Amino acid sequence: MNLAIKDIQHNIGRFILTVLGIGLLLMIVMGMAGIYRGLIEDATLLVERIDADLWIVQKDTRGPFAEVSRIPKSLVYRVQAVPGVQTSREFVYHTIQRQHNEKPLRMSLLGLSWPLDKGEWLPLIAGRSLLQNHFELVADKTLGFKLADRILLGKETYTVVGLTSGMVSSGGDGMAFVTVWDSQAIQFDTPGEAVRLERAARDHRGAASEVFLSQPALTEQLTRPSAELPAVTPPPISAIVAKVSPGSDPEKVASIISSWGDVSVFTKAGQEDLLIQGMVDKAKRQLGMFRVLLTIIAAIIMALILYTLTLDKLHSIALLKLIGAPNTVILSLILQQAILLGGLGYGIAWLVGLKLFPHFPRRVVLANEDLVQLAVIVFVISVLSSLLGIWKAMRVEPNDALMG
Amino acid sequence: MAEELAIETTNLTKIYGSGNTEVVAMRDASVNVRRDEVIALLGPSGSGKSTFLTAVGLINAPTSGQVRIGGVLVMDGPVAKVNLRSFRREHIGFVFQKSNLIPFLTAIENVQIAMELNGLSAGQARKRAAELLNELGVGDRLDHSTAMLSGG
Repeated sequence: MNLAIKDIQHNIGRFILTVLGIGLLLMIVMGMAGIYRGLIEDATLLVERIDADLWIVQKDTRGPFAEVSRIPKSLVYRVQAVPGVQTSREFVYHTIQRQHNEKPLRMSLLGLSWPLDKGEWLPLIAGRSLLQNHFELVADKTLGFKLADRILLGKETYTVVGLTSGMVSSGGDGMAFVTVWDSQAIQFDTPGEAVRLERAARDHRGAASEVFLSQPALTEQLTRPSAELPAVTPPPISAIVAKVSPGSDPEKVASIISSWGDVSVFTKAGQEDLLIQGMVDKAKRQLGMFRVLLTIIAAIIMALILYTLTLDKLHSIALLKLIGAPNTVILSLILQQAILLGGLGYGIAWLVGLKLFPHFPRRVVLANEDLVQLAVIVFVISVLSSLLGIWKAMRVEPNDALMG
Repeated sequence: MAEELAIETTNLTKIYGSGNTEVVAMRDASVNVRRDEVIALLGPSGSGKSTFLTAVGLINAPTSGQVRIGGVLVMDGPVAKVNLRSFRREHIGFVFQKSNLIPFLTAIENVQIAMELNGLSAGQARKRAAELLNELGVGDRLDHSTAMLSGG
């Protein structure tokens, strides 16, 4: 006869509620680990997906994710010419927030280096990758777009041609993919009034300059669009991503490019380290501390619940001792209930978490490694928290059964 | 003829507390009970009947004196000479003044558990428990919870 099960059956309602409570608490502990994993996965997602060997950014910056990096577009050709480089592409990445359907729309915009990169590597769940250099957009499903939706960004309207899944930035914003050209047009969109003011300023500077006084025909140049004027530099890009040829050593190629005075180079691993140790480090540590605290709280709550369950059974335990039940019977009664409580609580945490976590605004990743670790922790907590109840049960005297 | 004695107590004494708070609950109780003999203890409240029974039932150690059960010295003063719990399990039965059952077990399980603790298989214990409860005329209440049983 299993006394633990018999006792549970006797108070089944209370036991179910207790398991439910423990389960929800463990689900939060599980979720904390999941958010932590999600944070790291989100942070390193692009670096993993883009699968570039080298990231070339503005000198002495930790760009393009950890901080702003600006490099000239022409650098892509210089990198391409380095021995050992197979391909080099422009990389443009920035976050924008616009109003869409009367709601704020926040997205991380990534420029694809057309025509080398049309976004074939994107995890599409519907539609297709880009087929033209302009006005097409692939969006993550978290942005809430549908295929063929038309979105006004800057002065142009973009059509959603593809939908991805799980492509979010380290900040949790859904990502959208356009060509580098379109991405820069969106990023550096200048209002007409600003252009007119710039023209007027140039006109004024020209009129005040002695050169223009002596050669008035030059002022005509100032009426041309500002982007066409030689004085306005083309918009910079965030980084260059390069893939090295098979057989080439990325570190060696990186050291060549690093010797240039205007850029810094990171390998794929280096870029991932920057993201994990820099951008998400504090959030990671904060989640870690919360996780430890919640685990301790879960242990205390479980210990108190098991202690209370034992207190309710003191008379029965005394009676069992009176009729000669060995300590192992009493010990296993409490221990089995503790492990059952922990085990069922863990099961509920896992099942509810599986259903609930996908609806969270940020990614929650239940990694097998974390699940196994938590299972071990729950088992240890169950055993440790039953010690208080066992201690109380061991102090019960058989003649206590005659009292009350 | 010590072998014939089921219970034999010699100068059994139980003192609670010490100094000013000392209470002598039982002094020099020497009783011999033969096998198959039924005895009753009579006395006013506080005369030490329960103290004597709990000492003989091996759940309350005496301060001095000896307890022999079935010829075996089980208590020599407060010192147990055998494993008391297993000795109780194998040799002693208790009938309580009032209903004293394990509330999370049914009527039959309350009987069954004592036999299972003595090494009987669950099936055998249940069968024997059912036989005993039928003998006592409560065979129709085997699976009733203890709360549904009459105290009489």
